[in-house]
Parts: sequence; structure tokens; C-alpha cells
Amino acid sequence: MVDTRHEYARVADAYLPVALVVFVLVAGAAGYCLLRWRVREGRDLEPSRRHQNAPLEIAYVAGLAIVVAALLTLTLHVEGREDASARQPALRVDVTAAQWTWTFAYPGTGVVQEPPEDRPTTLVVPAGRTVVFAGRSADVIHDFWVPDVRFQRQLFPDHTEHFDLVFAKPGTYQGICAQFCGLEHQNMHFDVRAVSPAAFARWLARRQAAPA
Amino acid sequence: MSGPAVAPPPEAERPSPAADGGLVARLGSTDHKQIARTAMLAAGAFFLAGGVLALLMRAELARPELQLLSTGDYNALFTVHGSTMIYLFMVPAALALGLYLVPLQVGAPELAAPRAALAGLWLYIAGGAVIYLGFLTQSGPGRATWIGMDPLSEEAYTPGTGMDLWIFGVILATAGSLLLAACILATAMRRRAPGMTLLRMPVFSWTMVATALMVLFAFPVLIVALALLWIDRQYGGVYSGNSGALTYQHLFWFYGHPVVYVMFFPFVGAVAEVFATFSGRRLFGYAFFVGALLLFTSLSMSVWAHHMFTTGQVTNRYFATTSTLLAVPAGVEYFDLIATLWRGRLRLTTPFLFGLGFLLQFLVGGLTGIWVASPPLDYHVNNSYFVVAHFHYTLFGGSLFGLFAALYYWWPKITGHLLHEGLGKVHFWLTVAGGNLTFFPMFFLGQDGMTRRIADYPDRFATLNLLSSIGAGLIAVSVLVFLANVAVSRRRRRPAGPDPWGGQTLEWATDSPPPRLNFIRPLPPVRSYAPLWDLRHEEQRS
Repeated sequence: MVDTRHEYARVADAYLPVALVVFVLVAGAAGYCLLRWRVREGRDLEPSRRHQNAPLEIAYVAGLAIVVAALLTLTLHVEGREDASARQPALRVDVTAAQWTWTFAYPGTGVVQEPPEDRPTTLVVPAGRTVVFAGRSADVIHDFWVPDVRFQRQLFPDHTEHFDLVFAKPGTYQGICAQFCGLEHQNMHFDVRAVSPAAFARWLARRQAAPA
Repeated sequence: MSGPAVAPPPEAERPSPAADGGLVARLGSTDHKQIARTAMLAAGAFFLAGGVLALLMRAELARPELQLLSTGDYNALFTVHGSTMIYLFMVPAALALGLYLVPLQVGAPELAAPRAALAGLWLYIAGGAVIYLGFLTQSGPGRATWIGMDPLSEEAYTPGTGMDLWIFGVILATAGSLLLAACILATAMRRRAPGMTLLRMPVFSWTMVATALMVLFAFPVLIVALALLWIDRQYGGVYSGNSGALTYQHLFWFYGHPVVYVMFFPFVGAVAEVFATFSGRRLFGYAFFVGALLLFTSLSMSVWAHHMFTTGQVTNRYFATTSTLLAVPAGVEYFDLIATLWRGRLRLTTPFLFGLGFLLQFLVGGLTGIWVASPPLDYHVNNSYFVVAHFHYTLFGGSLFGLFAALYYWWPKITGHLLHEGLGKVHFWLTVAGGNLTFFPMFFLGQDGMTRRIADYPDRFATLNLLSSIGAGLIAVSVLVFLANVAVSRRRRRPAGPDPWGGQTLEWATDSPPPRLNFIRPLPPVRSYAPLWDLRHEEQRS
């Protein structure tokens, strides 16, 4: 079970400080040069004539390579975790994206969540459990994105995409089509309702008994 | 500022390019300088057009819900804005700069294959006109994004002539760019002055060589991909089957990532020249810089599918690795740029300010580029406003600042007179303020879940969007200040002389603007990548 939100934070928490430090170093070095060696009234300078320092550059490249290798190691490690599919997912949901609606089916139960009139479709999932999604588009490319779990996947008309997600805590999250898909792209939303596994089982049973 | 190295020749030996003839003679001239000037003017016009489209979008986005535009119009606007800025502004502007300067920097009297370059210029202008003709069709212009994403761009989902015109226009403009790049490469390879070995070629010319290589490898792929798209729209059966849509993405991004560096390298080269000149030093670490450039060029051909991390259909680990590795050559370039300032004699002119702006603003785009090169991070921010912020920091913060650095630096060479320094500094600070106010809030919008290419958004994004729209207004003002600077400078005509800045490369050894065949006086000896710097220091010694 991989909590993508948590994994995102792990990588981001390593990348952000590195980015900030690099920015401060570059800005600081440029600023220092400006303060120290800018030509002003009554002050002239003889510029240095040294225009290479191979040992320094090689050492610098080595340092840079180490930082890059460290970042890459983390990225590849986390990426491997996120891309691995769970052996025993708790639930499978079939996603169908079409211009400009979402449909969620729960195979084996006969339950299908279709878009109600003028409102986004609701995807109901058990919180804290691994859900495997099998997504497909009926027309152009769409993109299943739930910002709260920091994950998206493009859905194609010609093949089915599989991906696992965990909604760690019960709650309501917004889902968005992230791939531009035509005229009503901006309104192609869905809601995710993550509920306790017990509540999910009750909801599923209720929906099976009374199809919408 | 040190004076010209050699005394100017008598007036009679100085044929003025403007005196060559009328408009037709100018538009049909095979003088590389005239071709480049026309290309720059055209690119400038497309920049203004693309900017107006951006202002319309930011006006719509200033508040939630729809006020000015329909969603259909908005979709056309961002499609044409992106297409304009990339196919019709930044790529041709970068190539035009090379077209003007590479022959001069390598000491050549003329461009190689100037007629091909002239054909390239007019193909490009025709391509731009064809894309914009879409506004006159019933269906409006193309509206399937600057990427022309398939299957959205198929006849069934985006019907109408406008979309076909978009395909033709992009093909024509890209073919034009291809010809321009080929001429630049041939000139740098075959027309260098005696003594100028490859490792004595000025760094800007080196960046143009690397740029031209990427153009030659990547641009034909786009032409083919779009020709196939057109066939698909008419007859079907091309991007179909099991992975047709994915194939289009592969083909497009095989062009679409190298083009990012086509819009970056020439400006990093320009800024390197600017830094060297205004710190009174030769560029530091020239050999490392050129090596980094070539490594960068090779890597740039193997990173395209990082645009496809979220398809689930590419080897993310490979493309994450190649993309993140780009930090190494980029880091070397940054190191050499800063080391050039170290212990220099810094003159804070407008081109130098824009160069510094380039250094820091592009850095934001570069660092966030490392961010999106990590699949776990890209799984969230792909297609969000974070990415919009990221690439605007590279294209606005990077390319545009670099372009203005280049324009302020070489303007005296190209026109013969200086731009106004005071107005230039106002222009610079307005560009910094406007650019950051427009694009920095977008990082937070994307992180918080605002997706791209929407005309309407939830209320919680209202404040940051308003800030961004105000910033866009500031950018518009900054561009007006630049235009005012051009107008003022044209009126007051302060003569620049051959070498107003104390330049280091051969273009400063001839008149401003250079005569038809570039050099009348004998060229100074070329013993390094900074021949005029050498000359000055020899004179000091003797």
C-alpha cells in the first residue's frame, strides 16, 4: 500500500531545500560580484586575466554529480514504489472518461456511478485501502487527477491504464480532468468520497439493492 | 569604455545597407543582415500579437467565472498564444540573432546559402500568416493546444478549416526555421576566418551551432508528425490502432523538448558574451562551457518522454535519469558565467542587467525543471499551473530576458545607434516586477490543484489569479517602455561607432551597421575566442 501523497511529500521535502540553497548560492555569488567589483565613481579596477581553472571545474562537476545522483536515487526509489501494483488490492474500480463526464463502475457488483444532471459524478472508495483503477477514455485523451493524493494518469481511448491509489483519510476530495479535452474541459470534475471500510461496504450493499 | 580598435574608413568605402534600394530590394535581399532584420521585425510583430492574446486571457482570468470570452474563444486564444510564442516568436527570433551575428563573429563576408535563408524567412512569415488566417474562418483558428494533441486534433473533435490552417502554418514556419538553422550551421562550419579553429569560435556562435544541430535533428520530425496529422484528419488511419495517440505524443515531444533548448542556448550564448564584455574579462572556462553545451545537446535528444510521465506508457526511470542529468551541463554553464564576473570590472549597463536577470529568472525555471523531471513530483504537477509557471520562467525569465540582453547589446551594431540607457533600466525593472508577479503565483495555484487551459476556476484561486493578471498588465507596460526606447533612440540617433562597449569578438571590428560584405578592413589576427580582447591587451603591452 503506497500513499502517493506521503511519497510526494518525501521527494518534495528533499528537492525543495536543495533548490532553495542553489538559488541562494547563485544569487549570492552574483550579488557579491556586483558589490565587490562594480565600477564606481573614483574607483577603477584591473580585471583578472585568469580565464580557466580546470581542477576547480572538475571538482565542481564532481560535487554537482553527487547532488544529482542523490536526488535521482530518491526519485527512482519512490517512483518504483509508486509504480508497483499491489498484490491484493481491496477494490477495483473501472473508470470511463468521456467528453466531459466521468463514470465509475465497481466490477462484480453491478454498481455504476453515473454523472447526475449538472453535477459531478461521485467516486466512493474505502479510506486507507488500496484501490486499483482501470481507466479508459471513450473519445480523446483525458487525465484522472486528484490533487489531494498528488497523482494523475492519462486515460486513452485505445487501451486501459491501471494504477493503484490509497485515500488515507476519510473525506471528500476533488477530482479533475488535467488533460485539455475540448470545449467543456474546465468543467470535467468528479468528487471522491473516501469513507471507512465498514461504511463503504454498507454503501455498496445499499447501491446494489437500489440501483440509481 | 575603450574606443574602436581601428580607425573608421572613409565614407566612400562604406556602402550603407539602407541605401541599397527600395522595399522590394530589401525584402528580397540575400544579405544575411537584411534577412535577419526582417526576421526580427516579423518575430517582434508576432510577439506583440501573442502578447495581446495573453492579455486577453489574463483579463478573463482576473476573476472567476466567464466575463469576456466564451470557453471556445479562450481555447483558441491559448492555442494561438502558445503557437505564436514558440513557432513564430522565440524560435525565429533566436535564429534571426544567429543569422545576423554568426557570419560577423566568424569573420565571414557572407552567409552560406543565403538564398536558402531568404526562402526560410518567407516560409516562416507565410506560416505565421496561415495560422492567423484561422481567425477569419467560420470555425476560428486551431484550438487543440500548441501541441495539437491527438485525438483531440482529429476532424471528429476539432472540425473546421482553422485547425487545418494551424497544421499548414506550423509546418511552413518550422520548415522556414529549418532552412535558417541549416544556413547558420553551414556558415559556422565552412566560412570561418583564417586562424579561427573550432575552439576559437566565439561562444555565442557555438551556442548557435548547438542550436542548429538540434533544429536539424528535431524539426523534421514535427513536420512529418503534422503532415501525418493532416492526412489523418482527411482520410484517417494514421494515429489509430493500439497506440496511435501515444505515437503522436512521442513524435511531437521528440521535437517538443529539443525546441526548448533551441529557445535557450542562443540566449545563454548571448549572455555569456554580455558578461565577458561588461566584466572586461574573457569568458571563464570556455572549453568547459563548450563541452557542457555539446553534452547538453546530446542529452536534449534523449529526454522527450519526460513530457509523458503520466501516460504510464514510457520508461519513466530512463527519462527521469536523462532529464535530471541535464543539471550537470547547466550547472557548468552557470559556474562559468558567474566565474566570468569574479574579479572583473563590472559595468552595470542595460544589457548586463538583462543578463543578470536571465541568470536568476531562468534559474527558477531550471530548478523547477529538475522538480518536474522527478516522476513522483510530476504525477502531481503535470498539466497544472505549476508547469505553466515553470516553463514561463524558462521562456519569459530565460529566453525573453536573454533576448533583451542580446538586443540591448547588439542594437548599436545592427542599427548604428545606441538605445537609451535610462529607459532601458526602467524597462528592465518593469520586466522583473511584471514577470514575477505574473508567473510566481502560478506555482502555488498549480500545487493547490488548478489545472491548465481553463477559462474559469473555483473561487479559492481568485486572489492569486488577480495578482497574476495585474502582473500581465505590468509586462504590457514594460513592452511599451521598450517600444518607446526604440522610438526615442531612432529620433536622437546617438552614433554608436564600431565598438561602443569594448567587445571581444569580430563583429565589433567592423562598422555599425556593417557594410554589405561585413568587413572592409583586414581582420585582426584570431588567436583565441576573444580576438579583440587579445588585440587590446597586446596594445597595452607594447
